[in-house]
Amino acid sequence: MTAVLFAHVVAAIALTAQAPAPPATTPARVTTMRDTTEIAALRAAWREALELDVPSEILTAGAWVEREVSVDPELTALYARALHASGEDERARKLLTRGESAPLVLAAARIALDADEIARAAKLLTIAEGPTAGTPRFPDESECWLLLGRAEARAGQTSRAESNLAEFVKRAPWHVEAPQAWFLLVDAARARGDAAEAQRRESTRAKSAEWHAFYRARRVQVRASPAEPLPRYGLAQLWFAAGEFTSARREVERALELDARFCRGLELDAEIARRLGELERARLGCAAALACDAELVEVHLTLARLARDAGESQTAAQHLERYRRLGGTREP
Amino acid sequence: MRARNRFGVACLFAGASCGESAPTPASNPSRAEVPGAESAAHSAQPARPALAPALAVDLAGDFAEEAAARGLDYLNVSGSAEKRVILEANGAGVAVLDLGSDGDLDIVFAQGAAALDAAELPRPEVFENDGRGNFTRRALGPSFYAMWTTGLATGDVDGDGDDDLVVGGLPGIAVYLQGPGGELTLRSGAIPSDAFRLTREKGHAQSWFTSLALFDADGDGILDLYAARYLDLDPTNPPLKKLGEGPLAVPCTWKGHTVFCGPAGLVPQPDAFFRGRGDGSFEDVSSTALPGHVAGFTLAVLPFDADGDGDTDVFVANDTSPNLLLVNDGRGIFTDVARAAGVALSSEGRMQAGMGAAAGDVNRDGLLDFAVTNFSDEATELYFGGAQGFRRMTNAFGLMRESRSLLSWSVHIQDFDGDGWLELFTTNGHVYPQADEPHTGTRYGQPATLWKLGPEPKAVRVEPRSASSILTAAIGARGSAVGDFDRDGAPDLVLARIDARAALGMNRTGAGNARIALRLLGPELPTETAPRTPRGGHGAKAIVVVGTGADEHALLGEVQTAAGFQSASTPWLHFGLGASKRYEKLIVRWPSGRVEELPGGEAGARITVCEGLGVVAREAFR
Repeated sequence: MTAVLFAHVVAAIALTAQAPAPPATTPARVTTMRDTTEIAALRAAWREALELDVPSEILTAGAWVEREVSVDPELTALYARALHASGEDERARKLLTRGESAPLVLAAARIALDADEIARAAKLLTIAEGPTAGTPRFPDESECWLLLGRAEARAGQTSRAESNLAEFVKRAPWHVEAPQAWFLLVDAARARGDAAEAQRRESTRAKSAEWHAFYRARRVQVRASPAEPLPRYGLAQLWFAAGEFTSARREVERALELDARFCRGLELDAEIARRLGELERARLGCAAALACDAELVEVHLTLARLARDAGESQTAAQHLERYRRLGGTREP
Repeated sequence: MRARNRFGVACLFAGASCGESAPTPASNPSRAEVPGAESAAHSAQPARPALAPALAVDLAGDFAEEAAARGLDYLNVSGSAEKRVILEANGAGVAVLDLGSDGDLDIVFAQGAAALDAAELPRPEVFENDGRGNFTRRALGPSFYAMWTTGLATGDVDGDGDDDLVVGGLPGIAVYLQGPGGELTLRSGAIPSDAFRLTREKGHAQSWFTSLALFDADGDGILDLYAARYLDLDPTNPPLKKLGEGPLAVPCTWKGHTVFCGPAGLVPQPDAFFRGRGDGSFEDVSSTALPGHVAGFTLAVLPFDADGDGDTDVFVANDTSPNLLLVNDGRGIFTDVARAAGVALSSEGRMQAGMGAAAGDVNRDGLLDFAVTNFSDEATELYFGGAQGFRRMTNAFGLMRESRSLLSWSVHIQDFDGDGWLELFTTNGHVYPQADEPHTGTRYGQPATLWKLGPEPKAVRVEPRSASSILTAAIGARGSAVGDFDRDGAPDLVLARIDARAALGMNRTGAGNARIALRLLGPELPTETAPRTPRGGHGAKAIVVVGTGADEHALLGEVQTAAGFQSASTPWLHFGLGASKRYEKLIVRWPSGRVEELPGGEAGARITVCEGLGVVAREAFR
């Protein structure tokens, strides 16, 4: 699959942005008292470990989760999911009885779904009584909408599933499981005979799936070559193509931390600055990029756009001409 | 196996013959004459030879492992134990066929080599049945082609009334025709050699065939061949540990462990479709029969009538790419409808690692259902045939929970215990030896598994009842085939375990249940007009009506030999009648379009039915 993916150019995805938290290195030692920053870093690292199907990283680094009583619920939930992914369902279920907070309940619902306990999962995810009975128990948690929609789809409750899944993709368009939600939404539209909507959703699903496949591959490359700026640059390109310029900048800056003379990184950094409206930084970035490598192509397009937006049409034309001479084909 | 003429048996298929001209559907549109079915059948039985004494077996075992005791000493070789290259992990298929046309099921195993660059390449291994399920290794003739063999298919490709053998692997396909004495001889030029790259040359991938399926696609009564292919692999320079070079290289890992590369990241090979000419040779018609074919990493091919229109469609299980459901237009032109039918991807659109497939009517609604095996962390999927497409029943049957820790390969949907409800059998075993490392949630060696699928709509695991059961040993297996090797009426199982001895599970389940076995045969001489039934009966459907009044129910079976993974099972249809000692009616839907309704009879017999002739042979189970 990877080779096929690499053969394509990343297409922009017109979806609302919500950048995932940055991956973080798992600390070698974890003390009992953890500050907010450390917990946030662990959450991000463990989330990525689950997404890349490396539960052993969590279980190796987080054995303390089972020993300690007062642990951040999300870390507990992630650890339980790692146990589940490792076939340790009983230990996972036991951990999740520590409370009724959203992360614990959502993790329990995931495990229930994997055990074909659909009714139990739905019960965990919905309000049991009162005027809002049957609605998501944790409406502020996007995953609650996803898991409830998944349970309902498996139970054949297509209409209810559709509404919950639509809410999920609205709330979390960049969630790693968004392509799966879109797939169910396609099926739901088909089931009610709305072919046009099904087609529209299928197009979004395909783009989302392709983006996530690239995103996964790039993260694997980053892990394999952590000292190399190129995989980070690939991640930045992904975010840039998706219109997520802040996330793109984060990855470019990491690439440049690894190699300050990574010229293509400087070039992309300049265009990101332009897109974010930081014109002075963009100009300086272009100069730095050209100083790094005079043969860069895209930087001339950035310069042309900067000049155009500043009303310097002659300068813009000169930069565009230079861009074309170097083989650039995109429109300013 | 016994030589055909050894007992003076003139006719084919266990003493039964369809030699007389069959009346055409037009002359007998609804109901066939049954020429004294019971008595005539008995008179057609061949004299039985003196047989070896029955083996003392463990009757407490449900599927007692008796390979060694019965002479089945096949030892699979599949590269290194470390499994550095993907070819080494996929193992071998197994096929059952009747050599000598004596009614006994003999066994052929595919075989791998010790290494990809091994100087000496293997040949398939053939074992002859003495009629009671005891086997003797047969020496192969000089014409047997040496290659790393994988998939096997069986059927009468030259229309002479006996089973032939098709063998696939890296780098090609070989067709072996059965001669009058039961010998298998290479049919030279059977497959166009330009269909694949035979030569081993650095920098070039060879063709890698996996599962093969013989069935009649275009209704001409001649078996055609669907040949599945996997991926581009240069055996002189396989990818090791990573794909690509430099900082963008992608390491080949699974759950944090370095493993062999592929299939993801490698190039899938397109499948091929060959139209049979009727003389044992084939014509490559891939471009016309499979228009718009998108190459996947195909591991399994399941021919069956998916849409109930009487012709044979094909489900193609692809690894890490969408499955195909190829609907036949009746002329052998296939259109993929898998996505619309709901069987291309997982329930949430994920590409799965399709490994094996098998069909059967699980819920007794007269529509064929099917199962697809997948990777660990994925479910063995169960799909029920519906008015439109298929319904996914995996979660309803609890198969996600049951199969999630397994990496399953071959699969059979069969009534093993004879209670009238089908069971689901899978061979299992991980591809990565690293599965035995901590925190993987699975194991490298995995025992075969069996679940009851009825009468409650729930997969209920059948636990082995003895240490000697084939369901006990945690040894990975790949191919498997169903066949009644000792002619007791209960379908047995033969397993091609990887890097290990074969297993032969003799079925001792359901001792109190009644059974029948049906062999459906097309006419010896082809009818003038198509569609025709192939001589070996591929594509024929039997509907066995059991019970009366409120207890009446119908059991459906379709004659196909290709099922599971890289394997071929018996063409005999096995039906469990439970407590009923007889069946009330037998309806046969022949691929020719003829529908025959035959009167009921007593259980406990192997029954041969010929198109237009009714029951021509009946032999009590041993």
